[in-house]
Amino acid sequence: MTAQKHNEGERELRAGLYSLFATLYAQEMPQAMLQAWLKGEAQPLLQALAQDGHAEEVAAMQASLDALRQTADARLELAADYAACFLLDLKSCAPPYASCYALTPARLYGPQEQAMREQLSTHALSVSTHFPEAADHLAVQLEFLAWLIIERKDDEASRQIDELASWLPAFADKCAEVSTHYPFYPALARLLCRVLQQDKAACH
Amino acid sequence: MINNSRRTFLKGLTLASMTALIGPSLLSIGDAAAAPAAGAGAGAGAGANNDGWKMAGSHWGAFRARIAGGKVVEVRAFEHDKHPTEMLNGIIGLIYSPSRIRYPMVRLDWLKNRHRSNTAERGDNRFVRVTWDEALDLVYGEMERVQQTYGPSGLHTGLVGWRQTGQFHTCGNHMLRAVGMHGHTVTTAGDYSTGAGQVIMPYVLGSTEVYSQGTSWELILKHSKNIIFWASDPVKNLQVGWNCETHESYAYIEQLKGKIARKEIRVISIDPVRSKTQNYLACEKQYVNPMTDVALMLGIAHTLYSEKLYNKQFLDSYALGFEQFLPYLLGTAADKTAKTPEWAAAICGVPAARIRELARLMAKERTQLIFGWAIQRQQHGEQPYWMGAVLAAMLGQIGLPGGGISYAHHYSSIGVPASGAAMPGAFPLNLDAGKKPKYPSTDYKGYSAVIPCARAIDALLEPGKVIDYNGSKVKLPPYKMAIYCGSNQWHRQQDRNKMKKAFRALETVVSVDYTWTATCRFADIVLPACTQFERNDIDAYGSYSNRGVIAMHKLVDPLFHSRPDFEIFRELTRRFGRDKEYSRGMEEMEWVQQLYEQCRKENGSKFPMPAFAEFWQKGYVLFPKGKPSTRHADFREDAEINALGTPSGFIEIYSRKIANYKYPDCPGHPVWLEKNERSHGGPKSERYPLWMQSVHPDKRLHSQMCDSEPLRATYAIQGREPLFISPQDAKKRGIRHGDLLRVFNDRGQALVGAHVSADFPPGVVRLQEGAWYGPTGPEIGALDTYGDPNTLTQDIGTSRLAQAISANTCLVQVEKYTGKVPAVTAFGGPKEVKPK
Amino acid sequence: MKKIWRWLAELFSKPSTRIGLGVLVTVGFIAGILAWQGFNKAMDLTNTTEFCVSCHTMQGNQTELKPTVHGTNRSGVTPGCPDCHVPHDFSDKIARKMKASVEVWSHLTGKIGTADKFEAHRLRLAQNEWDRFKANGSKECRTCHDYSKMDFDKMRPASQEPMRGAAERDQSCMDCHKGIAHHMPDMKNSHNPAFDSLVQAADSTRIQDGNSYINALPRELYSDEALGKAAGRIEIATPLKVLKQVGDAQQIELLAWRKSKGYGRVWYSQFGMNIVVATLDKATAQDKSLVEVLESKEDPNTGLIWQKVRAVFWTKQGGVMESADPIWDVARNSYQTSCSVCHKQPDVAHFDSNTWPGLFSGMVGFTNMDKDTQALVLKYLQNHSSDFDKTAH
Repeated sequence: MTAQKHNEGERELRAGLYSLFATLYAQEMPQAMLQAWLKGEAQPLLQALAQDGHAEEVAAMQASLDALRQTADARLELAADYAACFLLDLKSCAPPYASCYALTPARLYGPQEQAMREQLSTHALSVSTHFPEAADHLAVQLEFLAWLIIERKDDEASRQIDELASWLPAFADKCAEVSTHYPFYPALARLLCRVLQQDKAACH
Repeated sequence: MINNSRRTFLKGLTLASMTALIGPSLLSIGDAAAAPAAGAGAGAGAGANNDGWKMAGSHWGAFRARIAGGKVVEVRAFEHDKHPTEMLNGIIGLIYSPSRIRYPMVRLDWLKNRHRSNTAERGDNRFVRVTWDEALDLVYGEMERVQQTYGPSGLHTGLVGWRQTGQFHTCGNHMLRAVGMHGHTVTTAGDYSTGAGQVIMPYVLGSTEVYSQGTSWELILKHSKNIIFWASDPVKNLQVGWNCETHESYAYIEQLKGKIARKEIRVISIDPVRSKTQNYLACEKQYVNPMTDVALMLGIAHTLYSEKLYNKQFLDSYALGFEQFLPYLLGTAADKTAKTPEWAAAICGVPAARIRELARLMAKERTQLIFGWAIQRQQHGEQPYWMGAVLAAMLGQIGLPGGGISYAHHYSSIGVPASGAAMPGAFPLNLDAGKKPKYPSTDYKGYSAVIPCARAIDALLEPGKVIDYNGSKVKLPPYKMAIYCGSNQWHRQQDRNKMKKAFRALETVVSVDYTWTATCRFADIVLPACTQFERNDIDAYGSYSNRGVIAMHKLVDPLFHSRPDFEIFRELTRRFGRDKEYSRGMEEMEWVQQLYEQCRKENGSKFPMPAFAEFWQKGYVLFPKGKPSTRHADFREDAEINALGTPSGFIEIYSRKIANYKYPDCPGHPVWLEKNERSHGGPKSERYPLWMQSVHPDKRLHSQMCDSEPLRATYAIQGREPLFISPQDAKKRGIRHGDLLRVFNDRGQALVGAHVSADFPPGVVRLQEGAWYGPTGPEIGALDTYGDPNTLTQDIGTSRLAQAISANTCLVQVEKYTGKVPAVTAFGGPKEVKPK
Repeated sequence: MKKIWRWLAELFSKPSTRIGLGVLVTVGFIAGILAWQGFNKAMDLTNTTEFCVSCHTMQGNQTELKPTVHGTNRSGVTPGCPDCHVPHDFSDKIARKMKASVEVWSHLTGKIGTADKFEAHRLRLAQNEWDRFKANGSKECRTCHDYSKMDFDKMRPASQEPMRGAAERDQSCMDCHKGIAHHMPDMKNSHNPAFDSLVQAADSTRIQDGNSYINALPRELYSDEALGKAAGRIEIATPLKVLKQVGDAQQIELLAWRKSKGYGRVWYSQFGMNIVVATLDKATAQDKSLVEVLESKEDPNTGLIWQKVRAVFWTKQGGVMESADPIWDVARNSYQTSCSVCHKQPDVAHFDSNTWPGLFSGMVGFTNMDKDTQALVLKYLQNHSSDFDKTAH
């Protein structure tokens, strides 16, 4: 494998990974996707992530999947955890919006939201109408990061990683405080944090 | 730059292995700002083409809002509002509140088990998000089940109170029309604000009085020599109005301040507390022990009679029953107690000499009595209002400008003359003529179809119980499902811990709101309505002055998944094929325009209004000032033709009708009745020595805006609702301003912040109603973490007559809080507090 | 156009106009036109919108028409002034034009020459047109709007029911659609337009002497057959017996209750219930030769003495109907619409007839009801209160 090809493959993998995170944060897992996870389709990814130094987070996610396999209403149970983490009011959950970590008291639609929308706009992008959310939603930011990587806008991608890395630790801490039945989402937040840190280190 | 040295990244993984786990893109090509506001856009997504100044109306007044980048960034009071309220500062915080409900949510256990869910979990449980279609299917399915299983007595549609303003979107009409198209329900009579007053006053003065236009301020300022504010705090309460508030009364109150300073008018505030009004006016204060106003009034009446200061001729011509009342006053009735100033002084704490002085003062010159509403929200709340009317009748100035009695000059700019113009109508609440509900049954199985609103919790705890109510019997219906829309039952109803227990009897609770109120947290299905600032509407400007019509421009698109109530309920009716009938085939702007044009047509050429487009662009139309008038002047002029609405047509000092009900807690004429708990030496005061008053808040509209963080930050103490306490009571307990306190009694406990204020006398504390409820857990008796006064109040009727709330009959104790401090949970969504 | 204008102005400003204005106006108008250009030509000439609005009083009317559906719409088909205001039949047309010359005169002499003055007379002018539409069943409207060609299913749901009913009754359009093209006159002091349907219903009543009826509208009572001596006022929905009919007058008998306190001017329908049926002048009420007291008893709810009374009065002929149901229909509609703007209107049978006045007067200020409608709705509430409807709580 030539270095260039290797880099291309890695670029795709990185973009794919952030897209996958975006998918997990965009909404609760639909039945089909959860089945894919439960049937082990994520195993190669999880193993690779474990080998990359995220064994602890991966173990927590694996444990969640194991438990969910034993649960009758797996989708609903995980959806309730998702709701507890992200969907209720911004006080008792871990709001997936950048604005909420920049402003005191926490408020929706802060300057970060405006900035993100403008940034998307400079690339002739916008938040899909199928996703009625503020633009500073974590899933949008991750999706955008994936797009930047694919489009080879490396400097901007790097800035986007810095931006995310500035509030994700606080976000992950919040996720850890939420009372969930499965450690899936708190572990996912820690995993994302670590992946970003790693990537950030690699970028500089 | 990407570092090429990273060799280990996801080694051996291929992209193909991930694709099944990646969902559709969240981004689309194309500039949001350039694209048309895409309906589903997330509020701010409407883009920059929406930017600029827009007009809006609210309970807090009209204002102009600047939109930039699709967001509300600035709010400025309407240029014609000369006395805007500080609460406008809370508007932006309300729209972008962290407590907004963003998605339709369903309680997980309810979703799994439906009406067989564990209802004890409510308020502490797991929710899941559902789509709008799923949510409305669930609501509709439950309505079907309840109508089929129980019939109309199984479904309760909660009283709608201070809905968001806007005549088209007024949410109660939407709920009642949509649910009414499906079937009949258990509804309520009366309201929480004036429950006792509006029942007793028709017997006495022939009208509810509490919602009647009163004597114009200019006549009061011109003719009154004395004004008595009896437990009335207009400066605090006039900040909000039922429709879009104009704040015009403040101009007159300003003039009054000048007249007091120049000693042209004498103003006395009879109140245990030094009120905001009193501080503003710098007027005289007359302290009275809490809940003993009737004793004070009897002492005054006794003086008026014994010193022959009362107007006998007026009583003979305009009133009935003084002779039946006299024996009670003079001590020849069954209780053998003359209601002398000395007798009164021992109860009310006002010296006998001062009582006589007050009587002479009132009788000497033109005296306007102005009552507030708080004193009828106590046990036997009918009595102070009735006795107030008897005093006014004895003074004989009813119907004269600047004399007589008012029960509402603190409300919605009453006292500002009506322009005479017609105001816009509203979205129809009723079914259209000739239409029947899908389930036409009116078989309530012997239960009452209408219950006094304050007894809604009793119906859950004691279904089938027969209670007295205003001369009739009510059999409490065992409703199993409740729908609340734009109303916060878990704020206005008393005694949270009783409610917690009662709500377990409910199989399904639906709440439609824009913010995570406690009512939503204790519901099974939560539907996110958008705020009034995310929809187009019109409103009356000035509920009583009818000053004009205000355009309410949509400032931003509905945030997140929220929707206007109109769309929510139209979608509900679509489920039984009645959506076209529901909406009459019209959309939002067609309705708004039609309401405007109907109003314009009614006003004709007498009050010309521009065509809709011009009005909408300008944002308002104003009408000229109306002619001043005197309350009851027509009655005084000709009592026969302009008879009062009482059974006799005259002022009824003694009501045979009420006497015939034989209610021990509301006999045939006003009486002093001891309360079941009363401070300052009354029952239970040794155990709980402090009287807690839960008045209407100064910086909220009931519970509305409590969630607006910037505004809350201006009054909260350590993040908790302030408890106002006298320096003496504070010192006695080692409390300093800013301390965290636990306020408690046998009914509940709450954490609050100490606000030590010399405005409060010993034995009196204030915890303003509308503070959000946030218990530490689902268990009965759990500590409330923010300071909702209704954690402590008692849920008993005022009497068998009105069955209204008695929130202000409440004793508590206060102590410095030393335990582990729990976080405030009031502004959070439902959450599980089980240990991990 | 200007020529006709100047000619008319000259005509009316001549000194001779002092004699017999009405005659001169009508005769002068026709004669003048005949002399001017020949009758038919004049009829055509004056039958254009341009002619109408050449007078600036009418320009305001045109301006206010513009934003309505008859002024601008998606198809661009709009009526001109004469399409609605000048009959299409030749003889009717002449009659209308003769009447119109009064309006032209009014304009020229300054009676309605300014917008303000026009407003002052708007109600009277509108009433003229409404009366005409009433008499001819809104014939001009129906040149375009034909009941037989309406597809009710295509109408808005709220319109379907009333339009079907209107078609069945062949109702005059203007009964319901007043104000559709021009601003409504100030109606605050006049009656609810829904009352017109009651007048219509009363018109078709066949009255027989000695039978009992329901009074259809509030109106004057007289003590003499010549209807010269006013005696008071009889309220809507009041039961009465027609004794005899003489020309334009009818003699009626009222049987009611009153309180002994005061002058006994206010009469009520039932013992102890404050449901007002008539209000008499002081002298009439005290006139023992007119008012016969049949019995007296104490009202247990107030302690007041009530008297059962009978009296005979005169009213204008007609104005009565067999049943009060059409009256209650109007009232129910007003109640349900006006009283549900702020909250759900209470169940009518939730309160008794003596409680309703107090509740109603406390809330009616929030509605746009005129005085007569207020009285009607209150009466409806009282007559359907728990005193009469024992089925509800």
